[in-house]
Order: sequence, then structure tokens, then C-alpha cells
Amino acid sequence: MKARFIFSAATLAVAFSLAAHSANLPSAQTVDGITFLSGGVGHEEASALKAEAKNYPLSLVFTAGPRHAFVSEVKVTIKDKAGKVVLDSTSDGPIMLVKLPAGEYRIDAVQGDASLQRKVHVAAQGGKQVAFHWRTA
Amino acid sequence: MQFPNRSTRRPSWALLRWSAAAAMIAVGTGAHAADDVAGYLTYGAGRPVTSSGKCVHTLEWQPGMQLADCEPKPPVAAAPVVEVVEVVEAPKAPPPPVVVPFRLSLDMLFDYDSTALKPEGRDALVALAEKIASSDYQSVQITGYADPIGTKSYNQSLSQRRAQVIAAYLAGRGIDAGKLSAVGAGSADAVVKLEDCKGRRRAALIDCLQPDRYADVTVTGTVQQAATSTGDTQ
Repeated sequence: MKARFIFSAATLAVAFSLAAHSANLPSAQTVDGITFLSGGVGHEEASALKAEAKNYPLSLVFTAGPRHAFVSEVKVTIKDKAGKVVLDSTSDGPIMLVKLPAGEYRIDAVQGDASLQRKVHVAAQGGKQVAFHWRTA
Repeated sequence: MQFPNRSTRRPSWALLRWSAAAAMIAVGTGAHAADDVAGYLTYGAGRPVTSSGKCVHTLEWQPGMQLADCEPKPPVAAAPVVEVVEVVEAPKAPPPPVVVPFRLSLDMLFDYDSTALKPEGRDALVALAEKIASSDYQSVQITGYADPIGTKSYNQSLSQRRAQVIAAYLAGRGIDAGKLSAVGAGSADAVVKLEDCKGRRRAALIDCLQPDRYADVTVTGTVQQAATSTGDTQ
């Protein structure tokens, strides 16, 4: 029993060090053709998402207060130029990555009862980063 | 042949019937005729009336009754009777559930702002899993807490994430996942408040708020001793 535990702990340690990066990445989901993922709770997941951002045309970061502290549980609604909702989800952490076709979008981010809006242009090439900052946490 | 002496009072059949009837009436009240010993017809003072060498029973008589040497003694009757008394007392209502709380320092399990278990954190959870597994647990509730540095929503998420990591690790160490639950309580009820650590920055502030970073593991089961025992399970 003990010997088996030591073996499995060693195996786990090796597996973790090999797959540390992707293991810390939250799983992506696809709703109505739009793939996205969110998180960034704990520095491991935050680093993994920052590294993954290059693979996504749009990344959103949510902060609040004088120290720009991360906020979580942000309700995100993205509409295309025609006003059609292409994404409606709640971010599991301070970072959200979205695969959007190139174009003009309007993003609504709601934290508590405070809402922020941004108009963004998403290009086919290059990741667009948009920061949402609420003055009070 | 042991007929009672003619000079002593020999009961007539009529008297015997009366005694039996009296005994029958007496059964209902739990008493018996003054002259009789429960189950036996007597001359009074516990002397049994005999017929053909056998004691005369009344209608009250049941197997197991005894007067003087009326009945042959059972070979090994005494010991089991004592045990029967114990068995009768044991199965009352099922024992009430026992709640065993454990408090874990999250600094022992995680580095600051981390959701990855430290090696010593894993060791602590292995020991906890063994304690829980050796008990008759019905549920294991994990509540994570966070210090007040940062935003409420982030701390809520962090405390919940850490509680989930603890639950997942316990499940991996054999605790029934169906009995595990994990919630985050955030930093709203922090023991040490930010104002208690005024003037401290970074590492000193993090240090000052250490008591706020903890998780409560509440094990509800039916056997207290097993859950609290520190005996190893090797």
C-alpha cells in the first residue's frame, strides 16, 4: 500500500511537471460557434491564460480598485455590428479569451451592478487586449 | 412417595381451584396470592405443595420459574442471562450523527495566491484522508476562506477553487466523491481585518493576514472515535 503510494506520487510529480502549463489552463467551451475560456484565479492559471492569449483574437482582463486587483464573476455580453449577441457568459476569473471572427463588436461587462462598455475592432491577425477597470472594488 | 403429613393442612381440590383462580386474577395486577409464590401452590412461607414428588404449579407458572428445588436446574443457564440484559439495552434509537471539525491552514497547503497543493499540503491531506476513511463518514464538507487582500469576487473564486482542489485530492485518496462538497466563503468574514494590519506592506501584510487563509473540513458520521483517532492505518 505504502509502496504503491510512493510510486503513484512520483508518477504524478513527473506528469505535473511535463504538463504543468496545459494542466493549469481552464477548458475552453464553444457556444453558438464561438469558442472561449475564462479563469485566472490563482497565479498558475493566470500565467497559463496570459500565455494562451496569443492563440485568441480577443482577450479581456477585469480589474478594480486603486491597486487594479483582479475581479472574478464578470457577466460578459458581446454583440456584433448588427447588434446580435454572439457571446453571453460569466467569466470564471479575471481573464477571458474569445475566438471571434474579424469585425466590430460592442462588449458589455457587468461586475455587481456596475456596467462598463467598450467598442472594439477585432482583426484577423494579432490578439486584441481589452482592459475593463472598475474604480471601486 | 412424599405425601404431606395428615396433621398438616392438606389442600382440598376445591381450595386448589380457588388458589388457581386467585392466581389468574392476580396475574393482571402483577401480584399473586399472599400465601403463594409466583407460579407455585404453597403452604405459605415458600413451602411448595407437592404431588407425586412434583411441585404443584398454578396457572401463572411459566418455564424458567423456580421455587426451592421444584424444577431441575438447567445445566449452564446463568451466564447467557446476563448477556441478554446487555443486548436489550444496546439497540435503542440509532446513535445521533457525530460532527468532527478539522481546520486546515491554507498556508500549509498552498503558496500565496496559488491553487496548486504544496508537497507538505499533500502530506497533510493524505493524513486527513486516512482519518476520514477510517470513520463511518456520511458527508465531508469543505469551506475555504480567503484573506481580504484583493476584491471580494476574486477572493470568493479563490477560496472556492482551493476548497475544490482539497476535495479533489481527498477523492483521489479514497474519500467517496459523492459525499464530498466544496464551497468558498471568500473574505467577508475574515478574522483579521485589513485595518488590523495597518502600515504593513506586501510580505508583512500577507504575514499579518495569515489567520484568514484557512479551510474548515466538517466530517459528519456516526462513529466519533474512528474519525478523531490518530492511530495509523498501516
